[in-house]
Amino acid sequence: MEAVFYVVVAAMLTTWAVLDGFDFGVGVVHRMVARTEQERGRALAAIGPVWDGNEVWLVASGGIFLFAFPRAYAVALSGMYLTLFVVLWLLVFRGIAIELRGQIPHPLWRDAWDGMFAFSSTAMAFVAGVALGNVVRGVPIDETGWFQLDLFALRGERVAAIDGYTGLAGLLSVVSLGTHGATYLAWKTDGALHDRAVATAQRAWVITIALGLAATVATGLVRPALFVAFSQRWWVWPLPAIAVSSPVVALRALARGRELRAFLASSAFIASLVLATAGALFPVLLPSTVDRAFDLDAHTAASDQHGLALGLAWWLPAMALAVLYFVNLFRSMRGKVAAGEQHGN
Amino acid sequence: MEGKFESSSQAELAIIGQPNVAQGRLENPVVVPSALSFLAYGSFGATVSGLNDIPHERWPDNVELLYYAYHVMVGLGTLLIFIMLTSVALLWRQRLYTARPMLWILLLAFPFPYVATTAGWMTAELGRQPWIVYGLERTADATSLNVSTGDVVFTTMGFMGLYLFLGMLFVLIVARLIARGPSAPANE
Repeated sequence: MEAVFYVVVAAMLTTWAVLDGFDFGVGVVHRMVARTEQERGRALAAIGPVWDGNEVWLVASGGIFLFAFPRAYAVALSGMYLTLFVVLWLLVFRGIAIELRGQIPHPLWRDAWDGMFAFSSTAMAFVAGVALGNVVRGVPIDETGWFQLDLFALRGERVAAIDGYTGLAGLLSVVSLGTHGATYLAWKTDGALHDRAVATAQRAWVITIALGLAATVATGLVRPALFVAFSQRWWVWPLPAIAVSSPVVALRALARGRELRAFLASSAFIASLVLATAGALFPVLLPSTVDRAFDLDAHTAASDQHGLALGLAWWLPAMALAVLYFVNLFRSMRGKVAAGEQHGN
Repeated sequence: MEGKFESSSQAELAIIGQPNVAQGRLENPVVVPSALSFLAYGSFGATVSGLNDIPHERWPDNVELLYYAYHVMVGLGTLLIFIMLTSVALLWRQRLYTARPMLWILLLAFPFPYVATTAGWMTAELGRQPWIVYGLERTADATSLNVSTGDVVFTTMGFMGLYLFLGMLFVLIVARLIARGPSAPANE
């Protein structure tokens, strides 16, 4: 049952990364792609109806994580206390920036919230990458079973949540989610906004590929055991294959104006990276940099079998409902965002 | 939260009164006899335990604040029920929109739900003390040892600042909406 829930949590986090990823990505490329106040409003209208539901996947993932692996939840979240509060505050600011921007038709008001939207989205994309980097790199869990990580350590004397490796992961996240967001805008808008989004996405893909290669090399240096596990688990191999081929598919699709295909390829890129990491890490939830014996893994950190079985029985219909709703939501807003459309007010 | 210090059967329900924790009694009580027994146990004769018979280490820290949070919530809740019942009655007879006193009451009562909701949450979180899981774990034992006090103070201040900021934004935006007034009806 622990394995089932390991997959469940990984799948839900991946869904969050793909869905909220394009919301963050729109924020990352917002100022580059949308030049006028009206265009910025239009870009926000493209994510307006969906961003809140997309963010809920993170909350739901956290809830399932607590339910299935309470010990890991307690250790991970208390150890990265400040990092988590930064995440919370960034999410709050991203949300209110989107929703309040249209409430007052004053240019300073709109400029201020657009700036906050861009900043919080970019920072959030960075922190999401940092979080994944920490999971891969491992955290200093010692014999007490707990750890404590500062947010950063400028003089480098301690391991910190943001360091060289996780910072690189964060950068990769910003650029790949930015690509994803730009592709989403290309899919959802037309006119000058669309053209700039396509151009931005194409350039961003190049940087994504470069950073992706760098991050892969860095991961091999930081946690070689990950690639050893890779090589032994043939069922994970399709995922890196997707990760390598999807940029090619996406770039060709963008060049030919097939935006939905480009968006799906970008989604596949992000999903395959996250899922491949989970597949290689399994069953470890959070590795320890102190000693492998202190790794938090699914078997020791899980709730009891009966509880997990009960949870699964509820999770299945709930997930079916959620998926149905999301399909309905995206279908109801199919097509391009109208030229004059703004979100809110 | 009821301010009941002495155990008794046919326990009275205090409508108002100030809890005097040092002396273990309610000052200036206005009570409804036997009502608390009925509310708590479904029988007017049931015995309700008072605080004096519960060991001190199981008391919530701040009995007075808890008492007032609860009474504010219930008092406002009851008031709001009466306001709405009266409004529904007037609406039924199509006199609500021209009944100026009732309209004034409705307008002035708008802060009450905010206050009542907050008071309700205070009741829950103050009343649960000293337990974080009732009977199993105390709040004092449940803190994360790997989180420093400085971290907690920092994040608490951060949230206070954030909520202050959001509160001011709310007032600003709602005031604008109210100043703009209702949109004109379509048939005028």
